[in-house]
Amino acid sequence: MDFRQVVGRQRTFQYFLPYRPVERPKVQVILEAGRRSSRAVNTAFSKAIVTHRDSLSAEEREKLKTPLSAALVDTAPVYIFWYHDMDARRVAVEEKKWPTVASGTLVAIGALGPPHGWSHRYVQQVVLPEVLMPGLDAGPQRGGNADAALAMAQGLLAALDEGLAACLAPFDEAGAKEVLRTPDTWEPVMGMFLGYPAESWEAGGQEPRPPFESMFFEQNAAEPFARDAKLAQALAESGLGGRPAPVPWREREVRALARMLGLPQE
Amino acid sequence: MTDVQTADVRNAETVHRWLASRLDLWGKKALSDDLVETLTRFCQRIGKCPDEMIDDCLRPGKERDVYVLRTRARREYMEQIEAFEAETGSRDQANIVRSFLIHNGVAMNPNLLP
Amino acid sequence: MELKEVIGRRRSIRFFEPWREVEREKIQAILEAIYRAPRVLEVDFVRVVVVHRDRLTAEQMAQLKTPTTTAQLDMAPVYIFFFADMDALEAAARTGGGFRQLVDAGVLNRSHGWSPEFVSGMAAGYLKALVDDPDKVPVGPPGPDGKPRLASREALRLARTAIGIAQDYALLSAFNEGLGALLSAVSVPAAKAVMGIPDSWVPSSPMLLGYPGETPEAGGQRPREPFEEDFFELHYGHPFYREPAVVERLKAAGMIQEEAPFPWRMDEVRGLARKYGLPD
Repeated sequence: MDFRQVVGRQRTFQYFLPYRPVERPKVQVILEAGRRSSRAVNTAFSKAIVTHRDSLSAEEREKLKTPLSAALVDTAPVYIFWYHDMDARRVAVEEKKWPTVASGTLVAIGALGPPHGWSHRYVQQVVLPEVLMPGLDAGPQRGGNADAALAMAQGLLAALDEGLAACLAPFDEAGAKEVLRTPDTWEPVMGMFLGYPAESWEAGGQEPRPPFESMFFEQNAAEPFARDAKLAQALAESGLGGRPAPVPWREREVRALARMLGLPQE
Repeated sequence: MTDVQTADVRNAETVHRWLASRLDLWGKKALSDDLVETLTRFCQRIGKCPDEMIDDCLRPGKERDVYVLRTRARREYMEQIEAFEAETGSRDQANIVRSFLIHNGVAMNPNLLP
Repeated sequence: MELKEVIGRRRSIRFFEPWREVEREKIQAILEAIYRAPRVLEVDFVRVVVVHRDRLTAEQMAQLKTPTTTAQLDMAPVYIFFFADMDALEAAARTGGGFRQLVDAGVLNRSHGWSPEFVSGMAAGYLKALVDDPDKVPVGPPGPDGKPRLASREALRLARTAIGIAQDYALLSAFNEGLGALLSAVSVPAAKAVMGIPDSWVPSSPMLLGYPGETPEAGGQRPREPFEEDFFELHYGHPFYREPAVVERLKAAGMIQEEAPFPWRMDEVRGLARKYGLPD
């Protein structure tokens, strides 16, 4: 699907067809997309575990729930739990594992080189000790990692491109650790709940956002980016946009979905 | 001008390292006589041997084979190279000196903006 | 462009045509894509500042550079900076934030337990617990009073997730627009000073943007660790089986491309060095 159409399709999907399984190749495509995301010094910060609702016991599912994701755990047939491996930098630096800056690969393949001031000696003698090693003694540190989220976001777009509905929501870290047996060095990013949509692709309409001018600035934080309204309209028509939520028939759709899926209507 | 000679430059450990690194990355075609000749002219201009230049920019760290970049020294060499570029009127010659520093672990680049 | 091809073409471009400006409409297209990215827990974290290189003074440019950020900052005509506003999370923790909007818009419904009462009680409480977590760390350089702003690691985890999502949308959108881009390091204190960034905004790597000077392949797709190191099924330690037929399908779609290094990459890099007057 065209990039802009995929971006424009994104919604906080809530209603999945509980009986329609997600084909394994589609799940693999999501992971392959995440694998190709940008990451600092080419280090493997992002990890993911794929789980199938029907492979878990009711007790295990309960352990995964947070107040914000309980219904998704019950209704989505596939979950992908995305994590940040807080040990990834140490593995890259100390074990020289995998093709990273630390192992010298990015210089060797011509991604970084003398035209940008980089050489093998610069990596070994300066970048490693001054940039990549400081802080490792303190051990794994929580606090998130944007690169792990880049992978997840790319996976999300791939899910939409594959014709799947997806929703990002938090999961219970301690419960997931028990069920998924995750290493101590992994901290959660978000859970991705997946399935074929039971609701229409509009899913009630495009979701509200704060004013554009409160998010985007030009040259400094006091100067809003002057949005060209005609261009915004053209981009919306090319796929980025959609009718704003709620579409007039949303309430009826939601009631029908609740009946169909056996969910509470009031 | 000082008495830094081409032979001194050619025999310096940091120059051997530079040429070996160029050979490793770019192949034989990246080795030419004008590399050492140009670096020699720069060394004569500032009155420093190649090894001294690198020692100025990289301070040995606590562990073996680990160095700390001296940012002020690096900045001063960048300015010296810019002056050399203005004097020779040649970006290529200045870049030869920059290449020597880069392959020895001192990152830098010329100013690309007008 | 098809999404899969956009993903496949994206790689860190470090050679830009320094003299070629990026059209304003392409910059807006990137921002509009970020605008439609999912929000983390429906918090309006994301702030983005577009900086035009040529409107910076030489002194500001010098301040932004780190020893690891050299030519690419000179070459890229546009920098897009990403921040997460911690004040937005604190506001959401008081009110339930964007969850309330989604309930009002019929996106989140009673069928899943959502209601205005649930938002102001349970959802806001969930966010408040993250904000109030006692394990706090500085989220930027010291402010005017000499003290850095503190935030809980849990709040920071969400903030960085929000930034990462925005960065991914921005990168892909840039390549969709026929541009080149990479996330790069800059001096954070200098960047905050140059742009007048409030202390509540957590910084991240900016995206450098411009017309690529190198071939689109840029030497080939960057190598990765084995797939099985990163992806598991049912539990950690049980790798997700990588079906070769799917890999072939993604190769055909352009998402998986020929891996670096191309045999002629080093000749290309030397040629680019000469083209732009850079050392080799």
